[in-house]
Amino acid sequence: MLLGVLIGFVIGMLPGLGGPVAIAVMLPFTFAMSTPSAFAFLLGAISVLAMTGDITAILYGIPGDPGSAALTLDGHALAVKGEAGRAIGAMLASSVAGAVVGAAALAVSIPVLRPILLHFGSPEYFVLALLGLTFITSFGPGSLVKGLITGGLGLLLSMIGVNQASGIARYTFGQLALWEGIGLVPVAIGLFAIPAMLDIAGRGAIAGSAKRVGNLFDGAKDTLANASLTLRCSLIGTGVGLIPGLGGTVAQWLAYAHTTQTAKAPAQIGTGMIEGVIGPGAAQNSKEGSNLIAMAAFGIPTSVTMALLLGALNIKGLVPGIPMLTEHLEVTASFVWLILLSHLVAVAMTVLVIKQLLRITSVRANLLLPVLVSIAFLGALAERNSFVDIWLTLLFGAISVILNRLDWPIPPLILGLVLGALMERNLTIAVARYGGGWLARPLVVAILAITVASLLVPPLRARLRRLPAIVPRDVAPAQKIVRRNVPLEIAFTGLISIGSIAAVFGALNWPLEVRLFPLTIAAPLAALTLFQFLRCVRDARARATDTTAVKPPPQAGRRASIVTAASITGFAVIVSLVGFGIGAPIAALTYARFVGRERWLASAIVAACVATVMWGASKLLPVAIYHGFFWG
Amino acid sequence: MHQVSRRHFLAGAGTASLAAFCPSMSLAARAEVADFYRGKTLRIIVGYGAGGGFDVYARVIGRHLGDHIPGRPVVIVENMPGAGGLVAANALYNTQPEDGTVVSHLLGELALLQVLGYPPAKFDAHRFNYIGAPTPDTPVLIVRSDTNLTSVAQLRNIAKPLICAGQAPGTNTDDPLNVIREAAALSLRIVDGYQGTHAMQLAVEQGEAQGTCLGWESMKVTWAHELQSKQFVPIGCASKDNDPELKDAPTFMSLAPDDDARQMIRFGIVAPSRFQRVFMAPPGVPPDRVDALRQAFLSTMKDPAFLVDAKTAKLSVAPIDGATIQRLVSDVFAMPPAVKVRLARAILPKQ
Repeated sequence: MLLGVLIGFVIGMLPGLGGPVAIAVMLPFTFAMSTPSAFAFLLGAISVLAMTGDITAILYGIPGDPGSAALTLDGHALAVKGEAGRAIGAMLASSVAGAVVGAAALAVSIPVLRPILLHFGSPEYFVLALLGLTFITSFGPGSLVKGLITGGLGLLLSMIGVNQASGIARYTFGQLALWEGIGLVPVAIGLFAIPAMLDIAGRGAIAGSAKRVGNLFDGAKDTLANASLTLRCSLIGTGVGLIPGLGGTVAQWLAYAHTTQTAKAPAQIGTGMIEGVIGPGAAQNSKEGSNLIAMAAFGIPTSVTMALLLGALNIKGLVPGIPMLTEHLEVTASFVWLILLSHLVAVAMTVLVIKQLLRITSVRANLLLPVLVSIAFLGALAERNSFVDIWLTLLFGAISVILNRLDWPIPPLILGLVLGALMERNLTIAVARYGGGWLARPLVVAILAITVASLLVPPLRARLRRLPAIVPRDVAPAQKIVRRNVPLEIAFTGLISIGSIAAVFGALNWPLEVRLFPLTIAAPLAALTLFQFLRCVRDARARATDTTAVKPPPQAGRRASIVTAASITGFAVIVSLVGFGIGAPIAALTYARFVGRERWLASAIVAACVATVMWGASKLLPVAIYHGFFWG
Repeated sequence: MHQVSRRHFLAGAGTASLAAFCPSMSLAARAEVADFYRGKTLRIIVGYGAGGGFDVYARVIGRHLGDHIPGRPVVIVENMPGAGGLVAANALYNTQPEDGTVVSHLLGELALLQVLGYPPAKFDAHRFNYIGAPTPDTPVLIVRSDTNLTSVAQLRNIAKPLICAGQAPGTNTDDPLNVIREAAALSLRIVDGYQGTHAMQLAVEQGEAQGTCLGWESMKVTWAHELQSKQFVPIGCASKDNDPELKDAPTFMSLAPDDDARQMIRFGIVAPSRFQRVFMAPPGVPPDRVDALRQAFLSTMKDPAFLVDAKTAKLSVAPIDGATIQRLVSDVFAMPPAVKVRLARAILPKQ
């Protein structure tokens, strides 16, 4: 287990290379191990990966894997403020708390789990996903329309790929790589890592000028002070982790939404509030236990990592299903213990190396970025070995930069993307199997009632108390004020309206059951974006003479960000032409020497680092390092 | 459960003695092949995600295959999932090196789809060099015992159609059902959209579906418990292979009313079931290297170290050699046009 923890720690620290890569690397070694030590080895790494992924999310703003993305918001904002230590402390404490609560909840429920879950069929999963979707309304208070538009965009993007029930390919533009939809890894890296990198470039280093890093124990104290939030988010994680297909990415976002909903100052969440670290941190780690049980008891992997673990289970001759809860209960129970133990070991390890980790945040951006960019792109490629994912990463990076400039919420996009296809699949099955009768199933009715209540109760309660449901903007701290960029908003909403109208027309020729979902999403989305578009145009006219906008961001930082954006694109182009092995070091050298104006020696060292990473990856990882257009 | 897998495992190992197909190579040719592979890396590209059934087979085989290839190359396994294996199959045919350093593990179903004229298949399946298959993958229709069905023949006159869980048209879990429905006018309805065989099994377990059609070799391991307690019953199969657990399940072929139907079942179900889990190399690989890979595959299947790993992982081992698969694929290409039209109508997704 210690060895597993160590491997997980190192791989988890590399941004973009998360759980799946680590397990894939470790899988071959488990052949020679006994069953208990094999799982100690793998689970040690998995539990640590969740944590180290969170650390990179906080330090660099780059999620170690999609499951850590929620921590890039408040966690990274805290790191930028110079409170990385506090954020990491809170993350560690809430993670352990989450792991404990998750494990305890599972230990209690193992005997009744399978009978209960056998009552959950496709109709129930559909309404659960619907419930998850309503959380979109809680992101970014005061911007319901914006949240609905980005959420709708996510839903529409989730329609890309082959419609399973009919085998018809939708919106794939002739690309087979899009048949299985858009992968989450490129989306997470594009949405969260690319803006973080541009930011780092703009500031010159991660924690610009700050000298203090905050204390780990302050964070732990913060977690204790928010014990109730920690407990609630842990339970959210445990519950969500049990649901096949929902697990992986959704738990942390639901916890984050819950945190926003219940926070004292919802508008400040996202600007570096410790609650925004504690909630997702607890959920992220409490879900691991239930993910494992769902995998062992049903053989349904809730994430790529769990799919790999299922492979390990198979290699060891353990068959998921009832025997895992009876005959092999000791194996299943050992999962719970292993998770707890490895979390504690990981905390100890983090505490030991935290000083060195924090030092990274003051490394000059010119030297750090080439390495970060190379690894992040490698991570984007690693999930499916498809170069299309590199372009998708860039595309989502661009979308993210625009949304950030406009101050539109990003989480709904990712929630929509995860939930959309899941909802369609389960609804199709529910209707095909039960006709209209699925609506009358008792659990469906109950969950629908909860959904309606969760939509109605908060605004009603706010009205009863005569409190404004929305905290006025001017309470928000200064960084949150973004100059409203009307031309950009016009361009962006215009583009989405054109896109969604095109999606409507694209769908018209499909059979009813294939076009129903895309139409239900695309038509309202088109209407909403058109509405927003017209509103922007009107605002633009009204403001034509108003030049008293907020002061523009510092020019130097902005220039660095633009240059870096161009360089990242250049990196992708170079790599697409000559491959990762040669392209990445060349790109790194060029960037450090000519863009960053570093000395030749320093630039060469950076390039050598990148080359080493590429070489190591090609030897160790199950990735066909892309050889490029010329040598491919 | 252990007993079942052991019996099955031994049955599989027993048939591993058909190595005689490949012409033995001359010493000179062998030395040349060894020179080529020495110090090289052989990549096994799995067309599906890590952790799944195909991935496990590839990894267990990949661990030992290198020891049996002259020159002992390093063998690594990569995943290239997408479009039910089409991404990997297209890549193998069009862009991967044709020197024998790349092998892919894919569904044999893809060859059938291409024969039937499926546009996204950008390859000519009979030009691939087939290396071998570790096991057949025999489709069996399994139903819940509360359906009170004992034979697939009862589906000819049943009040309400049997509801079966499926993945998508054109996949190996749907195609056999679509073929027998078309060939023998059975009353069954496939509810598509389940992701993977575990989700389909779960649907049957919770009663959302009444039955499903899956590969017997893996079902008798993952559903050992339920099959033994007669909670789920096999009521029809592609072939029995002397398996005592299938003695009461009629073959799909026995349902065929005429010769046309027999040909549909032969080309649409029985033949593909022999090469469903196939290992193949791109076209254009030098013949002596193809021979070396085929021989290495067969001797891996008899390697005691491999058999130990396969037994632990409960993998069925009943190898089919590359030359036989090559012949089976050519047979499928030679099916009569009328049969092809009916099969295409039954199987292909409507594009």
